[in-house]
Amino acid sequence: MQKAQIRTAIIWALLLIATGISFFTSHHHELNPNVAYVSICILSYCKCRMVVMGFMEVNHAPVGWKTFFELWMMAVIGEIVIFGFSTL
Amino acid sequence: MEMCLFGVLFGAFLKERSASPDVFRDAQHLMVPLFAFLNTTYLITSSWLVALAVHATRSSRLPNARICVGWAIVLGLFFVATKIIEYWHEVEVGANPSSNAFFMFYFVITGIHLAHVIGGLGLLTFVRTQLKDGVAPQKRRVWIESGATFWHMVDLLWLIILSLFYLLP
Repeated sequence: MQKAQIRTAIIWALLLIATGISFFTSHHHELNPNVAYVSICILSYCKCRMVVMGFMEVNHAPVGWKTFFELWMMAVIGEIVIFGFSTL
Repeated sequence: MEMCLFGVLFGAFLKERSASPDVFRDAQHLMVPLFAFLNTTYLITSSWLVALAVHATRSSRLPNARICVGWAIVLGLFFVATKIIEYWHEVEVGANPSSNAFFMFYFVITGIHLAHVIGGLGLLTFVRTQLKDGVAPQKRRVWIESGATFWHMVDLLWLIILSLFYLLP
């Protein structure tokens, strides 16, 4: 059980760090908007995956659930990229 | 089902955003990042505590599980309070659901999400009452894992909402 607790603590720390980097990227106006946009999309996908696999433990779930969550995350981030990029 | 509903709402928001980028850009400037940062911290931390509670329940460390769920509920209440303050601030600066498409989507999507947070808090409160020796281990496990799954889903949806309304340039 100790190993599981350490793992979830690491996931929590990584989520907070990724959130901090996202905010910095978003509000640092010297960054190229395309670079900022893609960075935030990638960070959002990584954070979602950490919650789904690390906290929800979907990596231990049946294949059907794993597939659903993977497809959902790809669909949502995909639509952010496809629709959102057109505004830049 | 909730995740599919939110997926459709996110798509509708993004479609509208691509049609009226200037309106969305100007509206986004009225958002206060500090509220979003605090709320993200609350939800990520409460999700972590719920995950710890699940591990504690599996190894029958019920007092630890109850403490973790208790603090997760407290952080959830902080989220609700911060969200209400943020709504109040937005109304004060003249933003409301009929202001423009950005705020229409913002109030609808975050409102539905907030309802899920409040429902999730109710569920966690009930789950906490089941984390005691008098409840059958299998029943305890079902409740904590169901409650945890719902709460993590609420956190997951918030991470997308955060990007859409506060972060994306």
